[in-house]
Amino acid sequence: MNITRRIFQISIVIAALTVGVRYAMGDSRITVETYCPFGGLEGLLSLVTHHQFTCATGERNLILFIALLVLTLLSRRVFCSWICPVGTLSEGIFRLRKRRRTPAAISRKWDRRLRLIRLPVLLIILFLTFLTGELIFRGVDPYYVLFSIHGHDVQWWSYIVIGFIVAGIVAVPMAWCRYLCPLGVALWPFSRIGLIRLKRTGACIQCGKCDDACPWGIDVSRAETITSGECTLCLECTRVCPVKDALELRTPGGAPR
Amino acid sequence: MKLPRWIIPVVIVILTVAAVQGSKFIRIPSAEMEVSEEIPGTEPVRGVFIVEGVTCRDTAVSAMENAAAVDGVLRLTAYASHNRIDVAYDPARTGPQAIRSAIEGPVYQENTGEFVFNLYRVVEINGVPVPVSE
Repeated sequence: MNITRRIFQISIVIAALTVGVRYAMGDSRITVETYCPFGGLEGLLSLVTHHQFTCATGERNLILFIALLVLTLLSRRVFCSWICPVGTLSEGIFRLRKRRRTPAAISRKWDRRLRLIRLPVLLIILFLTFLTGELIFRGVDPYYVLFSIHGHDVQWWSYIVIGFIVAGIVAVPMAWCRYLCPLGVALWPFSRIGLIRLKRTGACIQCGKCDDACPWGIDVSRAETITSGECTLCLECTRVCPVKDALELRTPGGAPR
Repeated sequence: MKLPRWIIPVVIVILTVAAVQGSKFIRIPSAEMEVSEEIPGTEPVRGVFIVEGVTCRDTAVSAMENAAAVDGVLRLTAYASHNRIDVAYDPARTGPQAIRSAIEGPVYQENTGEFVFNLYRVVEINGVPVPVSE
């Protein structure tokens, strides 16, 4: 399953780069923004109030965002670990690290507090996008900056911002996704009630390998059911688990033990 | 209920394909413009122009303003995410080539007070690709 996920991730990165290069070379009219579900959320408020989309957002963004909500309600934030190219980049850096847990300097309490930053980030972006009618976030959006091939609104300082984000990811696993990603926090409440969940069975030997493998810092070995809205069902915990069927995918109801 | 792990990629593929394919059938206008009323007794014709450079509401409005200057253009509707402008016009007073020339004409920039050339290029009219203008 891990290979399947890698294939998904790499295919989407290649597809996004292809779209970006083709647009930059003038071979296509489709931009990387066309397939960004966050654009659907950004344009939603304007569509409701002014009956028109914001800037370059369109129907496809909106439909993709609705599909993403359905996907999250079914299978939690799988978008983050199976689809999002920025998540793939973050995870790639996470894998290069020797020490994979959150640095000790960031306590569990602070980690939880820092994750709250995403909420004001989301609200500010939505408010300013609605106010200006422009995608003001575009110049610092890692997805757009990295995959648009120096697209519209990408300035020299955009790369400096991306450099800081990458440095943050090197210092703290999945730092962008954990502390800044506005789409991640928008999906969080839907992920919390997501249908498919990981459950720990009686076969678990409490080795804690799953805790170290989780890119999101979830203590898998301490919970019977992973209800955290941060779980992206990347299945890294199941990959490293030495016991067969100690972690299972289940729908709510019916005790696994 | 225990679920197989392959359920995740299956759900992702089904929803992604459904969303991408479904979005092709949905069109919400980025901008609309009523230019003039049709003359009673005439039957307006609708032309579909795919315009390179029309990528957002602002560029759509700017290209539509150019087209609106053509005598005989009645209504304009832009679908920026499809790079598309639908033009309802009176065939007795104008035609697709005149509208195309207007769309591709110079665009006045209010912030600089200058005209910008080659901002928009019509690449398709009513589903037929068109060659680049001289």
